[in-house]
Amino acid sequence: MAKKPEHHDLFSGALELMILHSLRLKPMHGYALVKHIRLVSEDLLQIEEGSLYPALQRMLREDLLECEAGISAKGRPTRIYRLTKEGRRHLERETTSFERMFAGITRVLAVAKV
Amino acid sequence: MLSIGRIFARRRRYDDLSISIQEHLDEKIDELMEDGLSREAAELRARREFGNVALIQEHSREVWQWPTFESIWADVRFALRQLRKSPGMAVLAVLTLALGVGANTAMFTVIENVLLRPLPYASSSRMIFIGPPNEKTSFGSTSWLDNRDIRAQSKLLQEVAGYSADISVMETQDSTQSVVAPRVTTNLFSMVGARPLLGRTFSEVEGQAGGPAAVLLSEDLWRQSFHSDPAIVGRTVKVGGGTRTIIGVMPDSFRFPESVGPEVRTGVWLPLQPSKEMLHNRGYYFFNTVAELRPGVTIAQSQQELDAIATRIRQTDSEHTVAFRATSYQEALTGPVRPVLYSLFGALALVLLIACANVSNLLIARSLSRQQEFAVRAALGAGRVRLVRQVLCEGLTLSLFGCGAGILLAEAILVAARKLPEGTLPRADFISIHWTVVLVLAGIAILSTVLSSLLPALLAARAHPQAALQAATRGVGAHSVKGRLSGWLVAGEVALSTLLLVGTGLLFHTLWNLEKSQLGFDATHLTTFTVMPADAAGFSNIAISADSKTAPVSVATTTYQPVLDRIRHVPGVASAAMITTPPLSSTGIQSSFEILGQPTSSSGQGALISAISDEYARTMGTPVSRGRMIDDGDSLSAPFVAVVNEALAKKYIPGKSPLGKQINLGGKETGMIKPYTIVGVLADQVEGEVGGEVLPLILLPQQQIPSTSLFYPALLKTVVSFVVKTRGDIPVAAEMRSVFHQAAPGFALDDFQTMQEAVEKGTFNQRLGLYLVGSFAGLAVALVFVGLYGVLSQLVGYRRHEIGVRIALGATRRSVAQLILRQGSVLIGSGLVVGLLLAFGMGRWVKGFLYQVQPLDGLTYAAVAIALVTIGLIASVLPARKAASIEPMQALRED
Repeated sequence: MAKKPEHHDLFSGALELMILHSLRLKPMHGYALVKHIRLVSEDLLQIEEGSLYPALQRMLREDLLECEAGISAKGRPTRIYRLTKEGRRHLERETTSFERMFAGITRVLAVAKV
Repeated sequence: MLSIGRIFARRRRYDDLSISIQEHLDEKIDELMEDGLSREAAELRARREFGNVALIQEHSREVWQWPTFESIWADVRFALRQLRKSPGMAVLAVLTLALGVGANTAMFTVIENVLLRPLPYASSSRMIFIGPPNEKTSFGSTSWLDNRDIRAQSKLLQEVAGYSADISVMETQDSTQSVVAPRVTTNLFSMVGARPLLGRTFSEVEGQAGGPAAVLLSEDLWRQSFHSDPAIVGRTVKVGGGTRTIIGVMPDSFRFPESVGPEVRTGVWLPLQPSKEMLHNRGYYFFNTVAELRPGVTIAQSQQELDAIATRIRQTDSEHTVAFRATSYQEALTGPVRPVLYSLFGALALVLLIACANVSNLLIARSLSRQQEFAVRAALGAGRVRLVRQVLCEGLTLSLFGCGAGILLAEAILVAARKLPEGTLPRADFISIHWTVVLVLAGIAILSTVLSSLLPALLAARAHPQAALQAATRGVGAHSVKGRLSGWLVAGEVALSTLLLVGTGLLFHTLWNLEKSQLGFDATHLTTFTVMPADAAGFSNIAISADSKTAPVSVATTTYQPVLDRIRHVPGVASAAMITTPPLSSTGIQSSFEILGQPTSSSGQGALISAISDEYARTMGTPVSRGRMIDDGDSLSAPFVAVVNEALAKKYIPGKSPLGKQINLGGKETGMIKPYTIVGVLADQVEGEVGGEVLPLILLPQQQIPSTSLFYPALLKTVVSFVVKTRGDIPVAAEMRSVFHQAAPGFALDDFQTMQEAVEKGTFNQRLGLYLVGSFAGLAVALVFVGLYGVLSQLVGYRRHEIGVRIALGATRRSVAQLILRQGSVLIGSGLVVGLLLAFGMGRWVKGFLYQVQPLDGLTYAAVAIALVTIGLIASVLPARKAASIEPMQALRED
């Protein structure tokens, strides 16, 4: 209960990247997105499911995503999130810089091992 | 970024979000149930894993908002709704703050304008007044010779100027009017940096003995009496019987010397041309000295130099005790009102404190009753920051309303202040609200409001919602802490209002004494007015006429006596008399004197000197205690006589009969060659002010003032007063003017007032002070009453359950009522004790305003204690009755 709100912000960069990545494969609704992220990250990312939604709203605002009415797997009305062109470009940019960062971190770790 | 389109699209965004989240939860619950969980367990787990739904929704929505502004706006709207829900408390809080802020703003504005704002002179901060030390008045006089020596010897003073506050009569086409006519040294204008509206200021040659006769007009006089004639410079006008050339007009902002009073607005300035008397007599004190310090020189340094100059003067002139004291000019000017204003401001500050304490209590009480609401909201996922911010917002909204109303109130008070009689406050017509003042006071009010609303919010936010929810109705936990805080606040209020009440009581006692004090005359149906001859000498031109053989006929014989005879025949007039200085007039002629055959005391003996006509005692209704009064027969050819007052007889002729003693008023030095034999003693009359000290007084027959003596121009040729006793309330001004118009054209008549008015004016300051402090105290008591009632009611509210238990266990209703009353008494008692102790300590501050009342006036203290205890008990009775009427079954079932 007593989690600090800043908790979410720390991970927002990573969370956003994972949302963009997941939605590149196919448009999804909220719960499907959570399940997908949990699956691909192999439960590594232990987050509150709800924290997905503020991130989605932010990305909607920045026109990285768009959302439309749709039907869930269980046949209930829901909203489907889809990547925009801008979102695709953003994902590429972010992936590159993320990879570069990871490469850097890996190198540092490798040096440390030696 | 926030575009209009987005605001409209927002509603849809919010809907999308809710649908998404709802479906998320539903789908998860379905899946969990498929895994074999019961519906309840599935719902619980789904929610737990999702997180705080409300909070997440709020965070998500915030993405679409202009974050801080919009949520604050929402808070403000919520605050307004909350206030509307409890209008009583909102109105009470706003009014309380408005009173506190408004009254203080007005008072501080007056102080700022009167005391702190620099005078409109080029170097007003370096301007000093040089007068004799140990004088009661701030504007003690020096002599021309003193001024000359200071100017010649000082190195620390950049400029030394002087003036004599004089009056004169000006004749225009339309009328003859008396005007304030200060005579100033020619360097004064450049010293204060004053520029004329038209023409020029005085040249050096106009300030020399026998120099050209020039006059400067004030702007108002130029507009009123000369119809704003743009070609006025160079024209001539008759002032004091002589023709003078108008050389310029001074703007309205130039009011030097301020000590003369508001009449300087419509006055004239004459160049000071030293008379023979001034050039030769160091004891000729009709002169004031002002000077400008060189930059960087302090008043203390200048004082040292002045002491040295005085010592040098004393070495050459042993006859006069010369000593100087330098004061800042601004201080000399504002000195008399300074303590009054500061005391009033102190009283008001107490009111503001009490007001803030009360508002705090209101807010604390309110947030206590809302603790449950806060707990519920925290449990539903409201962020702590958000809760605190919202409470803060409520406090702010409340205090902004309060301050707004307060500023309106302040403006209203200042409008009233400008309507005070002229001269009550220096520079009153320049007073306007200063925004820094408003900001400072609003700051205090807002801070106290916000702090008091914040405290409970912080406590509420920190508390675990569960505990708060469970404890809320039981009267335990944080309540007692805050209840005690409210209690202490109320006790503090009681202490502060004790101070105010003591102040009011002392002032009331003073005014009572003043009303009862002996005037020494019967003020009913008595009217006075001043009369000035067209060729009024003015105090600065007093001189002995050297040629005693061609002595002119006295104005007493030519005018005053015949006019009096005519006045006495006016229908409705019972009697009339002339006196140069009537009771309660601000000016007067003082002189040293000797009693023949009796050694003069080493410190010298002085008395007020007044010339009077016959029937004076009868007109004033003052008893003659011994001998006879001056009458018609005391003419210039008859033996010279005098009447003294009891104060003089007691002080200078103790234990002996004053009748038959002879008074010498200077002999050749003053032209009063013949001594005056005392033929009567008059009962004491009030002199300068009601309740003031009665000084020794010598009354001389107007006919027996030799027209060649120094006393003739000073007493009879400058300004005299007539007193007229009428049969009933009859206005006499028109009749008197017509009498003078026929018998003595060219004489200026002014200042018609009844003696009753003069007496009221004399006690105006005390009355104003009493009304103000009294109303502050009334306000404070009302606030205390509300505060005490509120706190005790609250207390009864908290302890409802406990009291229910007590009654159920057999406590009598009487003992329950006593319980509450006891609580009230503790608060009142402790506040009262502290307040009385404070009042003891601050007694000496008010001493200056009291008349025949000790600062530790037992009567006042007792009255205040009784009043406060009574008020406190009344405020406690209602809550006590409420407590006693609690039905135990009801109280216990409520939980």
